[in-house]
Amino acid sequence: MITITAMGETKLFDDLPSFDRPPVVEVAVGVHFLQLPGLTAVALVRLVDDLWRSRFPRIVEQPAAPPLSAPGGVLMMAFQLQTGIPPMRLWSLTEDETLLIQVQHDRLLLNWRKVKDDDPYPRYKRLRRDFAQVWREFCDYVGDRDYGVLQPSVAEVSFFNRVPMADAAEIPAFVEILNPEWRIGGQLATAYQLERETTDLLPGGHQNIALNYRPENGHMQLEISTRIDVDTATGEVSEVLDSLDTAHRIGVLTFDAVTTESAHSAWGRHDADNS
Amino acid sequence: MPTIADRPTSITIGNPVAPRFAQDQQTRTWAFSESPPAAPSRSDILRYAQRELAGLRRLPRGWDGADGIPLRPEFASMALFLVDLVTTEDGLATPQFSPLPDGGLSITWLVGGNRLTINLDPYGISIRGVWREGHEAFRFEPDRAAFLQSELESAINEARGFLLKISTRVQHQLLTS
Repeated sequence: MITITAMGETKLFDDLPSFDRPPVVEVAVGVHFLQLPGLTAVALVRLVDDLWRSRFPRIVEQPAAPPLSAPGGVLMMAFQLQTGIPPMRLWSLTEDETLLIQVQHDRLLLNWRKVKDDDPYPRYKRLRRDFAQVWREFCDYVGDRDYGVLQPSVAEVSFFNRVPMADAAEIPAFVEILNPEWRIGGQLATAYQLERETTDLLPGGHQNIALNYRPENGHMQLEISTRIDVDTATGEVSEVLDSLDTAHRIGVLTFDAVTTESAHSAWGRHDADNS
Repeated sequence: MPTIADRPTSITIGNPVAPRFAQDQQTRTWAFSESPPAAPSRSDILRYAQRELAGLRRLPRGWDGADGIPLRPEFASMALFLVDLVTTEDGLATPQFSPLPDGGLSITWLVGGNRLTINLDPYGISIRGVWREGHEAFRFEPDRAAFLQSELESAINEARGFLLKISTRVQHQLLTS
């Protein structure tokens, strides 16, 4: 059971499985919101400079990530039709490039990335705390300016796992959802993608599970991205963090469900203290 | 008494502060005016649309007295994209937004009885322009899963042209004020 205390601090994740040596190489936590018309390229540059220059001194321009999808892919089509100045995404990185803020006119994400092989995963509790601070700073900054109404829509937690392997035939040893008995000769590359609605916990959301192996990479990548609706009635910081916690919870349980017991042993799985 | 959807939509936003720089595509004119211009800028319209859509996202469940859900985030996002795409310059009419019980919405520009409507719902998108006499200027009502990007692009171009035409009076007010 997840218990939320004052300011949305998560107290218990005791019933979630944890891994001493998780294969995770990147985690993104963040919020999507209704695009802010006033958060232009100039405003973005000022924002990251005003708020995060000291802690995240390196700034990199990126093309904007596509919007939340709509039925029939119409939104993606409309997004490609834009004729004005295209929206921009900014990365603000720490000096060691392990932490990264991604901000554009409709989302704010905080990423942790494994830069060196021995970099430990700092754990969700730390990322959540850091994101909560960044989100509050963002809310205050936007609230003081005429950029538009900050209306959160979806909280996202994405895990990117990398499992070294020399052959696609090793995949069933790590991924439960593929039948361990299944074999086929001459397999050069494997890609698997599953998108589902998450209705087991409220509020609802969507989850994307993607598996990709190419021999030239020497590893299998397993991505689990969970997006949970934010309570539209308030959109307060605590509501956003509640949805973030739900996304994390479902993401961890999904990872546990789709990977094998033998892989769990290799990664040091235990049942408690995922904080 | 007209319903909200039937009211003229060009007076919804407060007047911008004069003097202001008005750029009408090829012609640049410094518009110094004793009285502020009557029509909103493109930026004003986008901010107004964003505010309205944010409000519809906060509708309570059952807002229609039945099982109506709030505006879904992907439709809110798409509606703002479409308003951005269709509103090509300052001084055009202001859209009105009406929620639908299934989380979709209807966007309507109404000027002097001429009407541009975009409907977004779980079944897809439709775009329609109707002159005040009731004659249809154009219609885009594609099969849900079977239309091309070029068809959507064509419909949006039609909508842009139609909005420019029906906003002539609004535009005139901006340029002559």
